[in-house]
Amino acid sequence: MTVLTIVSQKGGVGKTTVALNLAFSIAGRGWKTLLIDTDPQGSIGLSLRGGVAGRPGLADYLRGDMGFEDTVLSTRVPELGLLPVGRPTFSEACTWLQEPDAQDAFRHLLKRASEDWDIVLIDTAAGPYGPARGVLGMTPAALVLMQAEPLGIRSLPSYLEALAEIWRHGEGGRVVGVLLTMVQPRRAASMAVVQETLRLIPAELGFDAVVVRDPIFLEASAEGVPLGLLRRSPPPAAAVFEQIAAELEPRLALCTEEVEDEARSLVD
Amino acid sequence: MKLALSWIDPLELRTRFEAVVEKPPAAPPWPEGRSAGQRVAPVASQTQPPPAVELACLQPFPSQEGGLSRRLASLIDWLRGQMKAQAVFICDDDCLVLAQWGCAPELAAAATWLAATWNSAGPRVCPSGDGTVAVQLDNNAWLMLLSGRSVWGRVYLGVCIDQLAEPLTIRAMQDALSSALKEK
Ligand SMILES: Nc1ncnc2c1ncn2[C@@H]1O[C@H](COP(=O)(O)OP(=O)(O)O)[C@@H](O)[C@H]1O
Ligand SMILES: [Mg+2]
Repeated sequence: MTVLTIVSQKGGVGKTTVALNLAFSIAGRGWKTLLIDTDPQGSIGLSLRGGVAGRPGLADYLRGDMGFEDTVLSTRVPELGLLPVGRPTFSEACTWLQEPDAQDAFRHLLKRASEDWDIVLIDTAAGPYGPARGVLGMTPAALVLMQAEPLGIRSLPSYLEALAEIWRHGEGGRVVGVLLTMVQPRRAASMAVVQETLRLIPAELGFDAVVVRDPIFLEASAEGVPLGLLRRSPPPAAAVFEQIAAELEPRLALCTEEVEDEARSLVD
Repeated sequence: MKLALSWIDPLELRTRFEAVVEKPPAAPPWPEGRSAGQRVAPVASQTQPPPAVELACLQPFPSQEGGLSRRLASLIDWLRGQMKAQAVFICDDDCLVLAQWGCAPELAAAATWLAATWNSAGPRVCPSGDGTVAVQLDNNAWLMLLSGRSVWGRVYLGVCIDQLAEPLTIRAMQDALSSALKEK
């Protein structure tokens, strides 16, 4: 099983949005995908209709009140499961996933998840501290989201330094990509950040895809659904998560075991 | 060479990335048996002055630990000590300056321009990327440009020395560059 943690230095760059839509696309490509919300604020639950926010979840599992099977929600997409954060108390949220007992329980959870799922996608709280730090210390691969604005790129060195520090003290980990979000293709300043970022970061960490700033995300958020379920025929912005998923697969060593994975003729 | 928006030191960023990416396989070594400096400007062929660097007492570049910036700094120290370099300039294939010492702005401009030209024409002229370009700046100043491969892509080293370097000296510089670029 592969574990991918969606992280960012700053808040509001689209982690929860990307985690949800990317999980939807990866599952759509046939991988058994479990999306775990580790943000004590429960952003995934708040982004989804169907009363997800009120359901038990990670907090209940960490407390030992509920088992793994009882906290995982199945979804309309057969390959996609959801583990909401549940309802951590304020004091639980203050030390969220940073105490040894909770960390042991979380590691156990990942181990248990590996029996049923090909990939676990983890949504986190922002920044390298507190809750996100706890999760990063226990997960091996991070996708770093960066808002396409000058502040985003300027904060990258200190964020990478923090990640290196967390992984040095934890179980080790690596960045598998830097994904640009909130890109405004019609604004030169936004595109300049995109270009400069792609020039500065190692080529293998860049993506051809970027997530553009698009009001459709607010619409989907208002409806409480991933973009792919907003309409019968999903909006163009939904397609980008397909591409990100495709770009990520080799980096995560997600590959089909079938020998017969060759190009097929369009016309026989 | 400051970037427009990011205000960050590209070298620092690279060093930071080095700590958080999977270590890719080390850059392939230079193919054996190549003749170093085969494309040295022919202008030097008439009256050869004695070699500036005594090969016999040349200390090889010691293998380096640490991040890229530290390794490049050691390379510069070595070039100053062993090659009596007057100036050193290291840039990547986007002409971002990775490290430099003693470079007047004109020299930096000339070196980046050469590197950019080499980078765009090189793959067509000489796909292996081997070789050296040498430019005589004045009676006792030569700019020698070498290239090496790193996990970040091609890197160009410009060294300003008082005489055209001998092939073996070029080879030593080439080896030093490869060693400095190699991830441990
Ligand atoms: N690409 C986008 N275009 C427009 N709005 C977006 C986009 N991505 C996210 N949003 C909106 O921005 C806000 C913050 O996004 P969110 O995914 O919650 O960020 P984070 O999890 O990083 O805090 C939400 O209201 C979300 O609907
Ligand atoms: Mg969020």
